[in-house]
Amino acid sequence: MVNRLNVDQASTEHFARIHRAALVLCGNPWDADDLAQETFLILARQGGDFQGRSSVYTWLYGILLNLERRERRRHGMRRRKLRVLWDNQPQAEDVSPRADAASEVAEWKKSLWAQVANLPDGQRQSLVLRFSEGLRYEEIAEILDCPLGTVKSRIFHGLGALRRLLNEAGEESRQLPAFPSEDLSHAV
Amino acid sequence: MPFDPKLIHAEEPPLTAGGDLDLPADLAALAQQLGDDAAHLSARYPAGPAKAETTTGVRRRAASYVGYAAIGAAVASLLGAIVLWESLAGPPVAKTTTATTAAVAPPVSVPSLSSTSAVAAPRGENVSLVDLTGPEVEALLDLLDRDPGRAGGISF
Repeated sequence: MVNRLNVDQASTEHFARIHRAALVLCGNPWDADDLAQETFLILARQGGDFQGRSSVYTWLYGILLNLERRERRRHGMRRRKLRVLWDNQPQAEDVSPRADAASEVAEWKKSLWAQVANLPDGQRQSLVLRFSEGLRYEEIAEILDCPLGTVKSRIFHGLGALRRLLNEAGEESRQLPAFPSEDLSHAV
Repeated sequence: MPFDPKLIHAEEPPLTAGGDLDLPADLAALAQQLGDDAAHLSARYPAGPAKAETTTGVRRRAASYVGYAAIGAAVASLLGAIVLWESLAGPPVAKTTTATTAAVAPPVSVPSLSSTSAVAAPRGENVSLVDLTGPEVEALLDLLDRDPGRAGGISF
């Protein structure tokens, strides 16, 4: 059971890594702050549920991933509702930073993690836990509650899918002019 | 034609002799860049101080909620007791009006008020404002405005 001392200690020891994972997952420091705080709030409230069979930080990662998945689902639902209301809006995900995007968000969008966000949950979470957090395969399997082979497969295929996404994005950026409204025919 | 499902297994990832993933060069470069990007983002936006509540904080807040609930219950029971006492003791307005009018209103008839003797009943007899109709209450208030010393007073 996690007592008060352990909760304080866990906050001190693991908050930075949970915050980093949250930052990579959700793409901006504000949501990352909220997610990390909420994770530790759950630790404080439900610390008694911790059985001690795993380390505290793997348990915290599990909480974080659940919270983030719930948030994505909620966000996706809102987005779908808005699309019903404004059906003529562009449907494609725009991964390039907009001119008015906050610089913090643009920073993430320039990184590879913005492309990782388009992958399925299993691959996305495995990549975060492996390459952002540097966890061992066994720890990832424990957090995601799946066999070791599945973790390796998800990481391998996740990287492959990421490469394909980058190739497609590269193709699109080569085909589209930087400023679509500008007539570039005279420049030939 | 019988249904004959065949499971299509995804391509097995290449593994080293030690069981680790044996990534091709391009995927290994991607993995390396993911790590670098995560480190860059983390360094750019470091975590602030953790503000998560400890178990003591949760207990303290729960105790304060219990305190608020107890105070609310006490206030509600006090109000209930007051309402019950008033309903058992009868209409308080009539009693106070009686007492006030008896003390203030002189028991003499005033010529200027003779035409409104029906309305100016508080001078001579005990009348509850609850029993008066709307126009009668208005007339009484007019009298009070015109001649407050003679018409008596109203207590609530």
